[in-house]
Amino acid sequence: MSGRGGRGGGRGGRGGGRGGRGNLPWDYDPAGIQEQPKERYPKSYKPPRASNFPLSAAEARAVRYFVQLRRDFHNSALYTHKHLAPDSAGTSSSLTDPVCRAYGQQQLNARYGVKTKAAVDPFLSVPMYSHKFVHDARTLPDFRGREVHHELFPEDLWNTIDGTDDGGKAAAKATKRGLKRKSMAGGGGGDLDEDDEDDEDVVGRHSKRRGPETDEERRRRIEEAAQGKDEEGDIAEEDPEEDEEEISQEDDDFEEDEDGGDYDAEQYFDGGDDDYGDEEGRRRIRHGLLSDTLHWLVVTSRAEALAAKGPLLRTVIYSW
Amino acid sequence: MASSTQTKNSAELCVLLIRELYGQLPSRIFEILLSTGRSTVQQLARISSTGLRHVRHGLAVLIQQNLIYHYTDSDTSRTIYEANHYYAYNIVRNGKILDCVHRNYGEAAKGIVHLVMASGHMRVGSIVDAYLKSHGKVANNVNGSSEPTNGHANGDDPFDDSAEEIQVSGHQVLDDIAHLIAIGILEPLSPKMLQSPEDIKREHESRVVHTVRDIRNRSQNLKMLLEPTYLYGSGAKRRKLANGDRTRGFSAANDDDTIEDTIILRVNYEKCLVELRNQRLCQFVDDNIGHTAAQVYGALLAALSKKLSCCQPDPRDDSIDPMNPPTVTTIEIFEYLKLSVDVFGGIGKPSADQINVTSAEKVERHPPSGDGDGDEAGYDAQASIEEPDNYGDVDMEMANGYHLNGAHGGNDGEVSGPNGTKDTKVTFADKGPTKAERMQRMRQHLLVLAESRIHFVRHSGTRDMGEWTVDFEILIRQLRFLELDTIIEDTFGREGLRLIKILRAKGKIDDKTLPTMALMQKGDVHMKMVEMELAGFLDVQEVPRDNNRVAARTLFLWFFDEHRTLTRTLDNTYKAMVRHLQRLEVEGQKKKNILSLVERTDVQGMEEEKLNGDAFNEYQQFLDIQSRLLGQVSKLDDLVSVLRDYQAQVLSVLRPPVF
Repeated sequence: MSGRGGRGGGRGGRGGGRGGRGNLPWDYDPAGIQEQPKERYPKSYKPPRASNFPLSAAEARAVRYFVQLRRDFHNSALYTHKHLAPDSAGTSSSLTDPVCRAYGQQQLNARYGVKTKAAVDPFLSVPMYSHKFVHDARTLPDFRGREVHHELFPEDLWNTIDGTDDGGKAAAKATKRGLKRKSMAGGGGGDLDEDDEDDEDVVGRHSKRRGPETDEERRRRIEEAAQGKDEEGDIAEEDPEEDEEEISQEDDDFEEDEDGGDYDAEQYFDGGDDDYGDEEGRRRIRHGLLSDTLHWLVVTSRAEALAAKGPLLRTVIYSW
Repeated sequence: MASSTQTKNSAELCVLLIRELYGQLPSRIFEILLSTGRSTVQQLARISSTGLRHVRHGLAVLIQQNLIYHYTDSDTSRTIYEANHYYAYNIVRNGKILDCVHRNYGEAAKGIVHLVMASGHMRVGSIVDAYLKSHGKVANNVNGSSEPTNGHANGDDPFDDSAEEIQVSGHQVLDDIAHLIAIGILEPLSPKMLQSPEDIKREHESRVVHTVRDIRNRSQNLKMLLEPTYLYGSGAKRRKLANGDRTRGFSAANDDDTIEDTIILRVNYEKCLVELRNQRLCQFVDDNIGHTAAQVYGALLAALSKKLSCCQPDPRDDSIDPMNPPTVTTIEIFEYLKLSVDVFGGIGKPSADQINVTSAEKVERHPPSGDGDGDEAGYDAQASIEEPDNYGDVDMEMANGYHLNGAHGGNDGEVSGPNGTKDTKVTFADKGPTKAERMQRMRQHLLVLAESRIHFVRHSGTRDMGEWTVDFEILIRQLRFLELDTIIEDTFGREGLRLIKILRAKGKIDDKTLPTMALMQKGDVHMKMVEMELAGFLDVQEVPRDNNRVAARTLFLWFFDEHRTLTRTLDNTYKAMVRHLQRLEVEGQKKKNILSLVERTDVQGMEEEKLNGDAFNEYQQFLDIQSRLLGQVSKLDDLVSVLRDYQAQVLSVLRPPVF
């Protein structure tokens, strides 16, 4: 198109005798363009209006069935809710504009918000009777208690579809809780790093097996997983509350401070060895994750992590 | 399969559809999969900068809904995920497919397909359970996932529920499922089918060539097993299903062992597309010829489609011969013709000497080549061969159906002979026309359809009162041009359409000859041509007559590029659909308060009672807007189906037929 324009210009200079129109009678005539501001649409354009073309019975039925299907899926546990970012954050204009610009993945992710205690609307978070009718806004689909067919999913996802995928938290807690603290203190992205490590573990486990596996082996493994799932499923069913708690904990910074009350001198001395009497301790025992020695490990690493936070804290620690 | 090229708009559309139906997390993962191609979990997490846990959950939902392929390399045990945009697009057709299933196979079938659609894939046992649960009847005979026992399932049912309450039993549901599998709307899902065709091909490249088809065929085994009972078996069975008048227990009993409880089923969108295509083509006939003819055509397509598994057969598949498409006989078609169709309407009765029987009954063995001249020659040759055989009979048949039986006493017996088995079931001899008469009239409708310039039907043989086939390629191509013409006419007016039709018929035309051909003023022609060129419908080729490219010494050849126009129109359509879905989202945001109220579990389903006046009115407004938007999206999808899915886009040099 642009090449054509250029050529037309050249011709205009050359062929003066031919008159204003140039050699090609159909050539696009730039002189014809008015430079005055125009209405957005030409007058001749009459878009068809939806009200003039009502849906036929079949189309209306099809729409109804689609909506029905959508509602059914939205009521199922696999649906993840569309808008999670709170309106109060000044994003209301961008929400009504679905093509809002987002620069970089961070902003894009922020649009979906994170469900944290910090983001809760204080006016609505007071438990009310009517809340029992409202679906919880889900950020993650919930596979627990669902019938899934392991053979259709790759092995990576078996934990996920069993409902036992906690992002490697359980394993991480047992071995490197201290490490986690450090990375948390180090800033964002810690979560991701840890997951990565966890997954390297998985990959390592597979690669240890060496050599391609036969169909029989795979089938056996699938069956095992399916059987194991029932048991694990039961365990998971048993205490969903607890799991919820952990989920909300991991993206809640404030709770971490409460949780690591080891530096609260009062609580520290109060607790000592038998601080397992409190709720937190009971939880830890139940998990069987934290022995006495580990507890000390946590304390020391916690101190390091805090030390990294800044001179102010460091002085506090040293003075203590 | 759909064309593998993805434009920005179509990718955006798929993502929006997934978000609309399945939520934000899967849609985000799918978006990344579309933009980056095959990736692993770790890669996805890095690109999306979300946690691995989120990515894994999103992927799991996508697999549950069959929206992605995954492939685990057996050596490295690394799993790669790949978007299946074909399936993602099909989300938009869900409503239409459900409607189609409802209309053709009844309420129960629709309920089953709905369940399977909502959960992606499902075990047979759970479908039965879920169906029984959702229909409010206590499943006393089907417990858990165990196979339904035949014992007391049928004991008390057949006698007490015939009046108004249709009790659903596990057997009946199984029966319906079996029927749906036999038709091909539901298909057994095997892990291999979730691998992308390329992966399977690469894996087996050294050994087998047609593995993709083999895997498909293996999943078709069950269909094959069920087909004899449900499709080719006694007509009574099918008719019973179609009419919803069901007596149970006797025929269903032997299916329980055929369908294992553990088979996983999913919706086969390719077959659904065939059904949608049938519907569209009937509409096409309805517009062009008439209502009765459309109903007859519907019967023909229904009979034919049991031999078709998809709209676009794989060109690598050598089991399908394009020169010999599947055919159906008049008798088969007649089985599918609903009793309510009045075949005696819709055709006039001219006197015998007004009909050229030879031409009306001519048999075309091969699909027309699309080249006008060759065509005619072919027809003539065929006709002259067929002429001597059936001239005498045909004469009377065509003259008028009613006198046929009187004049040719023997003919009646001959007609009902081949399907004497059915005479016991269909008894309407005492009232109105006989079956033979009906069939004769139906045949005349078919001849009318075959005679049309739009090649609806091809009369391809004389076995069993005539064999018929449909050349979908030609037919869909015409439909495509019809849709394009409508768009062109709406955008550029009648003159524009005229010019484009001329170009299509003649190929490339010099700009000097065009005005005389179009019988239009030179200036007007040029104006229109520029307008259409700017919109991308036309293009111009410059052929200099000598070395110096002076405009006066250059030929300017206008032409219409079918393929490019199709692609552009398709892309614009995707974009329109995207806009509609975005608009729907905005409208939802505007009415957010009311919608959050409606979504409460105590309000859902009984909005009218629970909401107060204003709120309910507002909700109604939203529903109205929503149905308009979704309705428009589904109309646009009709366009996409015609332009893209009903038939592969063939880049042929064939001249398009003018009509």
